Amino acid sequence: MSDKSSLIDLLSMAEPKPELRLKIIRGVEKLTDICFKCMKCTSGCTSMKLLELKPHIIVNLVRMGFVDELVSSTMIWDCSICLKCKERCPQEVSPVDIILALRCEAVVRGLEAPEEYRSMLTCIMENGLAYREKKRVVEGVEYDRVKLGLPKIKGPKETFMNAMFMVFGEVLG
Amino acid sequence: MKISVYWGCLTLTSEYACELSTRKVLSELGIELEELSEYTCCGHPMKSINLTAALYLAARSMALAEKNKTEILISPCSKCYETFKWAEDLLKKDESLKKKIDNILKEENLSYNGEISIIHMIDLLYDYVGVEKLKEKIKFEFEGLKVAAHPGCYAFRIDGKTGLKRISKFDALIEVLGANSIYYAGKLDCCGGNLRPSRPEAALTLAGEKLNSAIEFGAGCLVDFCPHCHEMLDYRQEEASATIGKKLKIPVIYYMQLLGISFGIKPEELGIQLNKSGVEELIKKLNVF
Repeated sequence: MSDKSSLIDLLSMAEPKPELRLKIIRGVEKLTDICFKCMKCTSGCTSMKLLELKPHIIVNLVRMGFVDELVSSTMIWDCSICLKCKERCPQEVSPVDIILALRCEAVVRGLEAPEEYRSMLTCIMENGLAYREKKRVVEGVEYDRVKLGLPKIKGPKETFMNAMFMVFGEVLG
Repeated sequence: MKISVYWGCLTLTSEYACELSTRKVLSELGIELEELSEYTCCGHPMKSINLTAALYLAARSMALAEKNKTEILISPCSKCYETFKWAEDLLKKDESLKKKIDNILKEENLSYNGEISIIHMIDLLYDYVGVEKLKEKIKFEFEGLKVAAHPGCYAFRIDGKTGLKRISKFDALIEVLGANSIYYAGKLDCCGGNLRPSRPEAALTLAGEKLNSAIEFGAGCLVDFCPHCHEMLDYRQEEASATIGKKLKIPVIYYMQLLGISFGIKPEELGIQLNKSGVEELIKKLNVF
């Protein structure tokens, strides 16, 4: 693996950048090295059947340093986070954790992330929860917490917002 | 027994039936629920955006639960359970990461010491309450009812062998009610809930295929625990069946609701009116009221 020049993808002319191998969760970088490509992750993958996601390819692209290409591809958003790959891997590589780390890297770089995730983040910053309180309508009847006799939701204090800004400062800074 | 409860965003903001039935059934079993003083997201969706934020959010709720001085923290939502276990594990393993999180928690006068045990709902019912105690409480049995159990990924794909045992524990909890937990293809498959934010149609296809398989194998109803799975299989059942081009109709009910009915609790108190998938017909068929 010392001479990376032989790894240049001749179709896209993409060059590997081994220094970019993910360092977001400690240990991920080391983990990709022990994959022996048995493809148990891909053969059981929930998203393989529908979206042709191939976790073993993602693991090995990270291993070779093609991180730029992965974070800007849409395939990292195809994962259903069902944890089957993590459960099945004989080497305990956990492709799902690598995919999640790639998603986070894409967000840090300001690349496109699905709208729904961004709205969940906004919602958490505003009221602490990932969704807004909704009325549930079943057969034309509206139900909410008051009507069902459920207690009011206790939201976070103002200090929560400061703490969240600290968290994002940690990562970006 | 007094335990802390973390409801989870979806339960608090729209899956009200989950909260209603859990409150009612646990109080019937003599379990007192201690609420957290504040509720914020468990951090699961943030795993796709910022892992430090996800870790902080999970640690924050666990720290609030520790303040309650109870030994156990439960969540009816399997996603929240998985996130807490993930954070617990990561903070135990990585000291420098724990220091970073501790620093931010201090900002809010909180501290997380890793003292609280996080228990899954299935384990709570099977190990802590026990099948014998459930049998004492059960007034009505559902003989002949074929149940398709949906354990949901986050209930059993973590914790190694302990996790896998939850599949058979769930089956046992259904058999206690006198019903049959049947085999159906794709029993352990994903409901699609986690794919919905990024690939909504693929997510609905997964839910649709799951429901279709349960019907093909002759299930009278599908039983689940997690509010995220329930939303996909019950609330979005029509959308899911339209996505795979079929007309599917199968009652989907929370295990807590089914257990409550067998205890003789009125369906309205368990939030049955909130289920969209025709559970009223199922209850008529069960012939208990």
